[in-house]
Amino acid sequence: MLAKVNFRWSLLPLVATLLFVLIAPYALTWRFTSGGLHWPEGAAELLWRSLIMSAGTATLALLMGILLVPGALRAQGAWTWALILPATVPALVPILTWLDLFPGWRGLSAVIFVQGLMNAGLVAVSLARALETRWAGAIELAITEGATPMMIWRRALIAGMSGELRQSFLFVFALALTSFSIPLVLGGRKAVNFEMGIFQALQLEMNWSTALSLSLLQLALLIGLVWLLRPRGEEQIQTRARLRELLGSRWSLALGLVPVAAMLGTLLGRAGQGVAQLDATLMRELPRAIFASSVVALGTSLLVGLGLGLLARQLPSERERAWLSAYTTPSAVLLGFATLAIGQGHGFEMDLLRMTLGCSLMFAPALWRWRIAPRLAEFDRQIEVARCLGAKDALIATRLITPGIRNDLAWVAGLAAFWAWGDFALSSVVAGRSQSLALLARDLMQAYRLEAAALCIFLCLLVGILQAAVTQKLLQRRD
Amino acid sequence: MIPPTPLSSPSRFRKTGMAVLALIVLAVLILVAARDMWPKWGGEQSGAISLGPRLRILAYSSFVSSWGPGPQLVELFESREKVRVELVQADDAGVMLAKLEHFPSDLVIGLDQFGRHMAEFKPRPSQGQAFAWREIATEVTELVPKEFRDPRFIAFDWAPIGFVYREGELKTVPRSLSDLRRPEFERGLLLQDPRSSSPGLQFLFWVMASFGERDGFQFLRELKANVFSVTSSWSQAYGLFTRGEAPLVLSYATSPIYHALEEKDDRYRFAWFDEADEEKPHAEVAGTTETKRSSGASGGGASHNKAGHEAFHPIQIEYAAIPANCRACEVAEKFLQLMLSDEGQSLIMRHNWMLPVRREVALAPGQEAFAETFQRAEGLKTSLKRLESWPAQREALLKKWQEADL
Repeated sequence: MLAKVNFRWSLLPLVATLLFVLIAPYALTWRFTSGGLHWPEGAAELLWRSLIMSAGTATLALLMGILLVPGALRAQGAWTWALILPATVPALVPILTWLDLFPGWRGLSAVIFVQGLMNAGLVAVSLARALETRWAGAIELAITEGATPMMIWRRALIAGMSGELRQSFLFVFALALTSFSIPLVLGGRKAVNFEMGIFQALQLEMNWSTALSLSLLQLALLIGLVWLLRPRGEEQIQTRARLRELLGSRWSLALGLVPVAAMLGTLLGRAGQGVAQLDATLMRELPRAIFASSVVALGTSLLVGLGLGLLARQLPSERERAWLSAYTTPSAVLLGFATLAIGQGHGFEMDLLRMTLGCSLMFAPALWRWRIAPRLAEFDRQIEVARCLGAKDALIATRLITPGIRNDLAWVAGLAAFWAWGDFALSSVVAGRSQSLALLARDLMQAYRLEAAALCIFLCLLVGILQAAVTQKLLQRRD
Repeated sequence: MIPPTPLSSPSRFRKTGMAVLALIVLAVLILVAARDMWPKWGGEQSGAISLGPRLRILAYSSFVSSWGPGPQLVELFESREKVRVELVQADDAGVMLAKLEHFPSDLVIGLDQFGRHMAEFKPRPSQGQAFAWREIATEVTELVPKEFRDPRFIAFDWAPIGFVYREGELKTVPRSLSDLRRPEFERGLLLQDPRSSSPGLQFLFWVMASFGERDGFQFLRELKANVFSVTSSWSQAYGLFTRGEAPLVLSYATSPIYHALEEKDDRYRFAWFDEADEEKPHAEVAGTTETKRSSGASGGGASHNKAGHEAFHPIQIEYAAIPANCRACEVAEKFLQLMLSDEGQSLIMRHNWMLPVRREVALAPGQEAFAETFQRAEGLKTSLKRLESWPAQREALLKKWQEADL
């Protein structure tokens, strides 16, 4: 016990730094408010509508995700990435695809459907991974004893994985709560959320007090939800086995790949025409933009991987993990302005530094919530045993946690790199010029060169996936 | 009980550390190797002049981008005035004004009428009072035509807003807002959301000024069946239009000129509305009493209805202004002079795809593509009075737009 206390005290500066990092975006935004917090007139309605949209999206993603679990079990390597892809592409891609396929379908139901379908693959991969980690041994045994697949789904997935289901719900709920473009384009009056409220407060009224108030309300809502969905003493079972042959399904995988195929079809059609718009200016700008994006993506992946790794090494308790899962950074615009407080002026290197820091802060909470926090929960029993046997926390962190979550850190680092390639919400606030490929795509769109912009977005996806895969391969365990 | 995962060996942990270290070293090496390219790639120009004052310009992204007029204007200015220019981008007026707090600038470029209203009247984010703007020297303001002239906000380009179509895709071309409700345009219109798009906002006010508030919203409800999509930005809507998803898109009168000059495609046309919409006697948008008084002489494409109201298109005007706390104020004025010069206006016209404010530039030999649109648009300047009260009503009208769930 004494060792634990000493260990924690010795790492106080690190914990303080982390706390500072989490609070800084809100504290820095405070500087812009003139009269403290200010609640907008329709805050209650905004809260209510945000809840409906986010809960609807999360429920649909969960239902679809459960259907796709056999496909996710079947998927390997690139196919797993393909299932996750719809949840990670810039919002414009699913919007265009939806408008192509269902031009007349708008409103709250359309927003819920698009966001639910986008996240279903990601939920499926997450559930499949948890199933393989926690229940594979038991399932193997059950099948040997004659259990039917339906019995296994009902008992193992639905009943035994309530913790993972709650985590997935929370993850998609938080994503829907902070989404902007999809509700704006496809929704109507009934499809509004906090992010849209923040945008309106800033763009229409320049009211930073309202924007910060809504950000804090959003944070409070997530904290409340985390408390409601907190783990309730579920047994943690440690096991590893492949369920691919036992429960995997090609049909389910094919179903899961439909959204990504539709999106790629839409994008490829436009990108093909974009080749004709490749002019001398674009050819000159492309290498710079690709270079800048790759630097930002590399920096973001390292910062996210290292940051979450360091956090995991603190061996946070169940309650601490829950609190961290509830954390979300303020909206991209607010975070962008908070990031501008770093350094002075603009320049290539300063822009890249700010974009890297901003992207890291923006993506880390979601990745913690999705992958690292649930993974750490699996080590609770082992940590308890190790402590009882006299192991110091430093030793547990070094010999158990770090190697144990290394593959997960590689995953989140890869995903952070991919997201960084597609970001332009934060980058457009932070950068003094259009440094990245995503910003270049935006410039092209504003300059009538829409097909060339589609080509850039396609390049973002392609090179982003490549860099994410390389980052993941480099960092993961080789056993 | 399944046995726990065995503790990993320290050598494996060291390998992880080495991989992370290798990635960091790789990142640093790339940055160092690319250092020579930074000045060329970053906002600072490679041929920047180290002597003299530095001019700091904050402008909207399409002005700063490589396809916009900003980089060429800066290059021209630096070579002539021996001054280093720092050009920084910001997205829209709200972001631009907030960024002004972080990045004190000598010149702000790209405020439209709504942005200008925010710049004049909205309190600064960190202070209780509005931004202060410098009165600009008369030798600069006098370059601007009287209709656009203002001592603090210099108009540098403009364009009417309306609907663009491709020749051969429509049976009949709409000639008024009322025409847009016709069944033949079912699911044929691409609009933009007024909450996030400047042309979208102009359209909303256009409808309100033409029909009055109550009938305006009724018009929008009736229009719903003919709308293919209300996108969040102009570029999204225009993208759907160029793909052929819908035959009519809300855009600028100058859009067809881009296709004609850059893509050698003459099919694109702007639908000039020359039939006035009947304004109902009970209809009123707050503050538009002036609107009804302002029906002066018509010119260009404008005509009158029975009540004497002229058909009109909204006009987007883009302004530049010098903050009162500027450091290189005179240099900023010189840059404005360049923007309003023949050369500057021509660059803006060709790269921003907007009309120049100076008539002689638009009608100069070799600018025939712009000249026709300019002459047609000139007649609309008489409706500028109708636009004056719009920015102040933005927040109220947008709330109603949202409540109407259109």
